Amino acid sequence: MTILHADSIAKRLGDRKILSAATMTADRGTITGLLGRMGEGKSTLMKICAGLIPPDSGWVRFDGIQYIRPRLHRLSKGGLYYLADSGNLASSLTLRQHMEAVHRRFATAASDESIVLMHLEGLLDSPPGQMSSGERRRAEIGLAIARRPKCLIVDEPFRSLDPLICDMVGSGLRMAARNGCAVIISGHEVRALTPWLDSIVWLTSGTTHHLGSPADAMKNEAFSRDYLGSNLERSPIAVSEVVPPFQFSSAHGSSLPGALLKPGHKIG
Amino acid sequence: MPDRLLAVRYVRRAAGFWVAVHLFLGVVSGGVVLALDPPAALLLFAIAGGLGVFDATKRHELLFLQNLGVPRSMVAVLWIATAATLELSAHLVSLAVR
Repeated sequence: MTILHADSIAKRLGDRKILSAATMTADRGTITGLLGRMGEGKSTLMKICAGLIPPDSGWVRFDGIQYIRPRLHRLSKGGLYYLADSGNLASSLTLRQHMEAVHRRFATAASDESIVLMHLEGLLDSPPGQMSSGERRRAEIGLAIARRPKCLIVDEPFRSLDPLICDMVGSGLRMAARNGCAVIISGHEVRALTPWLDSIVWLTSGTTHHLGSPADAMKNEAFSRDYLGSNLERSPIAVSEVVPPFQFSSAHGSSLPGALLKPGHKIG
Repeated sequence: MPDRLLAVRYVRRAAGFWVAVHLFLGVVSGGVVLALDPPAALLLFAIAGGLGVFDATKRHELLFLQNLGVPRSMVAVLWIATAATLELSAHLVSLAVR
């Protein structure tokens, strides 16, 4: 079921035309990857879908309501949650205060579940300024999961994260999808991203191409040539073997994330 | 309305700004400035609203607020409301003193 649909989106920033006829859809229970070269307008399209910046033309339909000028605070009341690539947590609040605010605002909030999943027990009383970038990303994802959104848009969730934290963040996004959330993520870490994706949308030259599953996308000649490049052509991704390398154990009690992982298990 | 935790902080920050402005004007004028003239008060409210949004942006609070369903303009409204309440109270006190 499609919860978010953006159609005919055009956007110009100054003299530069970023988007000309982009579309984006997000189906509940799936993770959609928005891929494209730097400067192609991925973040711009995500911000338009989230209602942070207005499109020059086009519209966004979220949860059955069509918006010419979507706004995040309105969409978020309907169940959308947007995570930018940075600055998602208030520097003046601890993670616990963030969680409590989400819990007070939304009756559906499930803080405990997300705290355990993202191993945030030791970070609850820390403000974001005292967290590493990986901890902050886990905290942001955990907070988003606690909201139990219908649609979660995350800009570059894996940027500058080590592989172990990537797996944690990916597991969190997958759990959100399993709970019926439509997840849209972007990024350039193709090897880290693709195991978690159900479908890929390629943004190039201001427009989008819906390529289907990661396996189908890798077979797309133009996508392979113009986005993945020769580096991946020499060492292609074996999509059939692309599975998350770790599954989080249900047992917890250690503050060390690595101790909570069981290697070699597939998710799904 | 923002979450009560943040709302209280905005009221405190706006009150701090209002007090700071009046103390500064008192030092500059060499006397006690309890209440401002209406044009100056209006300017103070406008500055308070803009400063409130700027301060919340610097503290990365706006995106979190919007994800909670609170428009960013609500931050400016809280700052202005706090400054206006204090200014009105100061006017009443100055009238009573006279």
